[in-house]
Parts: sequence; C-alpha cells; structure tokens
Amino acid sequence: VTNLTTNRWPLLVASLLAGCGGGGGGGGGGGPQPVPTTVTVSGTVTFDSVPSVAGIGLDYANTQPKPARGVTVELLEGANVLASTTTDAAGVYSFTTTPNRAVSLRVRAEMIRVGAPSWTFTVLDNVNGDALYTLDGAVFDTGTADSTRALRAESGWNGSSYAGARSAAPFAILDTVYDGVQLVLSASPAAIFPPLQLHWSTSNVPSFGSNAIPDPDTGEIGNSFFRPGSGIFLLGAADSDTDEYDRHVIAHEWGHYLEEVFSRSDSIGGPHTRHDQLDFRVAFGEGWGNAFSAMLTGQSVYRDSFGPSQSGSFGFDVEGPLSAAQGNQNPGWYSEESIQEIIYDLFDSGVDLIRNSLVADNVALGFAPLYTVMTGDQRTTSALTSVFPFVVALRAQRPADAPLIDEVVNAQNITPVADIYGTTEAHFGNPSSSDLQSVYDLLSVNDPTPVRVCSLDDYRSTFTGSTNKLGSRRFLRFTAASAGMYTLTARAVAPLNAAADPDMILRRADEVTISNGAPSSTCSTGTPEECVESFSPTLAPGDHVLEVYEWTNTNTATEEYPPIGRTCFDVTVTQP
Amino acid sequence: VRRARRTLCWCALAAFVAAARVGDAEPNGAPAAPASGSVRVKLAARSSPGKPQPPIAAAYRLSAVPAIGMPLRVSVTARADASLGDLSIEVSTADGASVSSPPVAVAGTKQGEYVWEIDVAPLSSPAGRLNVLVTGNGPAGPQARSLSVLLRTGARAEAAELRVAPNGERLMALPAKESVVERSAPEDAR
Repeated sequence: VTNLTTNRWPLLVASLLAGCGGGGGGGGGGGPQPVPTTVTVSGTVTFDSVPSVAGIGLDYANTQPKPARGVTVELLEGANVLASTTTDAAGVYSFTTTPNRAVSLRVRAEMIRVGAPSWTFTVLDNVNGDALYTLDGAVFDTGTADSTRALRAESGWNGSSYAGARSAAPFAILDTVYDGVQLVLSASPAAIFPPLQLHWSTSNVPSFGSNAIPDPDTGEIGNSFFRPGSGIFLLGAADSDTDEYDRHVIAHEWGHYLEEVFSRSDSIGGPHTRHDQLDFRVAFGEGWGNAFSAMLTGQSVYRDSFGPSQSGSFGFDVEGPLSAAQGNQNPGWYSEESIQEIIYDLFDSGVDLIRNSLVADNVALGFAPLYTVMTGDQRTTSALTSVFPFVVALRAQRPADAPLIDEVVNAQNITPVADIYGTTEAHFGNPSSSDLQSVYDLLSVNDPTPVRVCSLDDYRSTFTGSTNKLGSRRFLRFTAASAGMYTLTARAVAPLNAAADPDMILRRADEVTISNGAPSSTCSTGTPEECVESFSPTLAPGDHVLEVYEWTNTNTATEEYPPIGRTCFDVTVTQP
Repeated sequence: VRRARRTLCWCALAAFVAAARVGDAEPNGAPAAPASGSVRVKLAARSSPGKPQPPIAAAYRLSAVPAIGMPLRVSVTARADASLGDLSIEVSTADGASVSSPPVAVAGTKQGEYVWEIDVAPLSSPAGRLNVLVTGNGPAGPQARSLSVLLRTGARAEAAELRVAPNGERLMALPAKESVVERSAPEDAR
C-alpha cells in the first residue's frame, strides 16, 4: 500500500506491518496487498450561494455551500477525458477508474440530459468567444484506494470585495435553471427543452457598446436580457450590477425563454417599467416573466441587487404593492403589474386581497394548468398573445374555477373576458382617449367603408419612451374566407401633425408579414391621402390580425424622427 | 412585404438584431450618431426587453477616448419619474481609474433632465471603470440605477484561464477549492 494518506488506515496498517515483520509495500491479510483493479473517485460539487435579500442586496455573511445539481463532471488524464458523469440532486458524482493514475476533475458549467425529458443548458463567457466555464481541480493520483474529493466553487468575495476568481457564478446561474426545469417537469415530465446558452462575464456591464446596442463581445450588454436565438445574457460587473445570485432576474429571463420555446410571444419588447401602460403583448410577456420568477423561486418579492458591494436592492412584490404608495396607478390588460399579479394569484395557494381591493385571491391552480394553457391555446391562438386568450383558455380548462379566475382578472380593472380578442373590454388607459375604445377593430373583406383607427403617443413614459406603449399600435382583425391574394391598405386622414408614415404588420398565429415602407415624397400634412401603406400578401383562409401604426409613434422623443402624436388611418382589406 | 414562419422571420431579420433597441432610454457614452437625413431605419424585429428596472434612465458620454494618464470628462445624464424627486449621484472607480473631482451638477438641456460632469483619469490598469449610481427618493423609498462607464485602454486581465481542449472546445477554467474528504480501501483490496 503506497498511498496511505488515509484517515482510517494508518493504525491498521501499522499493526499489520508489525505482525508480518515488515513487508514494505505490503498490505494486510497476512500477505502482499493486491493492487485493486479499480478504485472509486467520488464526492460532491458545491458552489457558494449568496442570498439576495430585499433591502440589503447580496448578503455575503450568509453565504452557504449548495450542491451543483445536474452538472457534468469529467475525469481527466491530462487533457483527455477518461469518463464523464452528472451530479445528482445532492451534487454527488462518482467515477470508477483504474488505480495509480494521475488524473484531475473538471466540472463543466452545463446541464445536459438526453432522452425524455432532455435539455442542454450551458453557461458561457461571451467576452471570450463563448468559452464554456469549467471548475478545475488539481491533478491527483488515484492510488489504490477509493477516494472522496469535494470540489467547491467559491464566490471570490473576501469580506469587502471580489478578490478571487468568481468560480461560483456559473453554477449559481445553473442552480436557478435547475429549479426552473423541475418546475416545468412537474407539469410536463417528458419535456424536451431546446438548447439554451446563458452568457455571463465579470465584464458584462450595465452600459452599451459604441452603437448604443448590446455588445456581447466587449461585455457592454446594458442589461440582463433574453434574445431569441442567442440566449440569456447576464450582468456581472462587480460594484455596479451583477446578477449571478439574483435568482429572480435569471428566472425572469428564463421565463422569456420558456415562453419563446414552449409557448408563443408576440411581444415587441422594448424598455418598460412597472407603472407603464404598455402594448398589451409586452405587458403580458413581462408580467409572465415576473410572475414566473416568483413561481420558480417560491418568493413573491422580486429582488435584484446592484451598486457598491452589491448592497443595493431593487424589488417589488408580484402579489401587489409593498405599500399603498407603490400601488398600481394604471391597472389593466396593458399593465405588466396587473398581469404578473393575475398569473401569480392564479398560481399560488396564498389568499390575499388583490391590489388592495376587497377581492380575495381564492384560487390556487398551481403551475400545471398555467403551463398547459401557455403551451396549448396560448401558443396557437389566432389573437395576439395577451391576457385575453390566456384567460379564455384557462377558464375552458378549469370550468369549475372559472368564477374565481374571473374575480382575480376583473379585480385588475379588466372587464369580464368574453373572448380571445377582448371584445367586451371597457377600460382603455389612463387618461382615457376617445380614439382608443377597442382592443381590436373588426375589418371586413371588401367592405367599401374603411375602418378608422388612430395611432397615439398619449401613453409615453418620460424614461422608457414611446416605443411599446398603449395606443401607438392599433390592431384590427379580419377573416379571410378563402385562400388568395388580399390587399391591405392604411391611408392617413386629416388632420395630421406632420407627414404621416403608416406601417403595417400582418399576423396569423406565428406567421408574420411586415410592410413598412417610407412615405412618398408627395405625402404631407396637406395631402394626407398620399400618406399610405399598402401591400398584397397571399393569405390562407382563417383569422388574421393586422397591426397598424404611425411609425414615428414607435420612436422615442430623442430620435431623429420623434413621435408626431395622434395620427389616424382609414384601413381596408380587399380581395380581387 | 415578407411572409415567413416566425422562426424564419427572426433569421431574416438578423440584420436588425444589430439595431435592437434595448436601450431606447439608455444611450451609452459614444458620440451621438450623425443625422441620417431622410433615411428611415425601421426596426421590424422586437428588441430584448431586459430585466425589470427602476424608473430611472441614465446614460453617459466621454469627452475623449480613454488613454492611460490622460484626464477626460464624463457627462452623466439621467431622467426619472417625477415621483422620485431630485436625483443624486454617487461614483466610485474600479480596475484602476482616478476621479480627480466630485461630480458637478450642470444644467440639463431638457426638462426633467439631470446632468453631472466628472473628471477622471484612467491609471495603469487597461480596464478602468467608473461605477455610477443615480438615486431618487420616491414614495416607495429610494430607487437607484447603476451605470458602468468604461475607461478601457486595453484588454482586461482575466481571473479565469482560457484553455482549448483537444477537440477545439474553448473552456474558461475557474479554480476549484478541492479537498480530500476521505480515502478508503476499495472493496477488492480489503
């Protein structure tokens, strides 16, 4: 026995050696110790988990090791991979290998499972060519005895600053993903998750690149976000904004991924904040993200640390305002704050008064019904993705709970939902506008009387602009009775504040057609009829939604073409 | 006029991704783009909304390209919901940068706009950074927005080590704290 660095063997070996009169290198049992054919290398992988606490930011004093669950562990000889395994729910790994071999352990910041269910989640360094993060152990000799080796990914915090490598960060990120996977599996045990890359770097700062857009190569990403096709990007700038321990932030973005790959999102994105009156697709997407973050973490109070020593904290309670002063001033189908409270109230088992009303949240559906709706009717709805098709589908799935579902929804200043288009909706922003009195307007093919809709800039925010606010884009719906070419036209009408630039987007479920030409040179305030957008797509039979907007009303006040305000269009659809 | 499945649409619109406007309210420190005349750049693809943020927008501009030892002025502009009242600013440096004077408030060009000027000098580190925290105090308590002003003059030293595996895979190796918990004889050696 040559590698007796054990805790249990020295006395035993000493006595055996004495009894045998020596026998250097020998073992027990009265003869030479046979070299085993295999030895086991096992142990745990943990990471430093730093709690993010409302009001105080990251609480380093209460850092705890947590198991790195479901991550890949490799046994290496030099650079060659001898074996690979996956940690269990306790972070345990185990290898059986040959004795007396110089090896090392490497933990890959990835969760991979094949079969059903299956997933591939990786954490990459976006400023280093999307290199995969790994946690690397030292070279050791497998010897002739089983060994237990623990690998810990440390936070790098020395009590006052990040002094060492922040090895825990990629595994903290995966830990939130792991919980998200478990939540989804509770509703869909054989879910097939499309691959997702999560990008993190200590160089990811809350500032933009030279083009005022996120630049993953330099780390100037501006914010943590999800981008379809690219993945999730997370901030990592110490003393400014880091998100690896902000589970709600990661869960919010992962919720966007979930919506994108398992459901459908028609959200146009753009800057937003809680009190904004938003394009209802944005409101639903962001409300979903916030509610999902609470469902995943089990904590209704969203928290996001930032600032020097990560000691600042931004947050809100998806259950409603933390105080009356924080109350939602503009509840409705266009409020992300309303949507997040609706979805979470439908999910959770707690009973609370909704937005300080006298209506109690008496419904507790759990995650599965919400997931079923999101992956079913919400994905295929012919309407745009919003609270309306969501509620219609949920009521149909849970008819016995329909009255309670309605109570939760109606308490948010939303008229009892009649259909996926919100046809009976009677609340339209604060302050109300006579130009905005319907969620969708009904368009009839070959109707000689056009439908007039007005694009507004009434609900812009002083700090998040106009891009995605209520009323800037108007929605019309029509049914194509037969397949063929249709002509869609939006023509400006007087009075105009400036030369109008109408644009249109046609949607049929997840099919999108865009017509966004520049205005003609003959278009002016005096010739509104020359300010026209028209296109002729070939359509399949069925329901279609047409989005019409004055393009400048989707810009910010600081852009070259700022919003021109109220601009009305006559809209027609014809089939030859 | 285009028609495509949504996934195809996103692919076709990849060119627009470069113009995704995550930061409509958050222009960065680069000089403003020159006016583009009558050309209207229309963004058809959706932009990434980003994580929820407090109702404060902040941006910065640099007076010069950062160079080690060369002072330059950082202008920080912020806007916020009126309910947050007057905004204040805190700055700190990271990775080697020196603030030679405290932030000086100057008049904004637009109503509700706050502007501060900060004189800084990148020092020896090639990756200096000025951390900015803009804070307002509303009925729900203080709210703040963080901003990083990059004073980069070169590549940043990495705490992790970039390695290339035999199969060409790029790996960012982070150190582990490793401990041998126990060592015992295998079954067939006992």
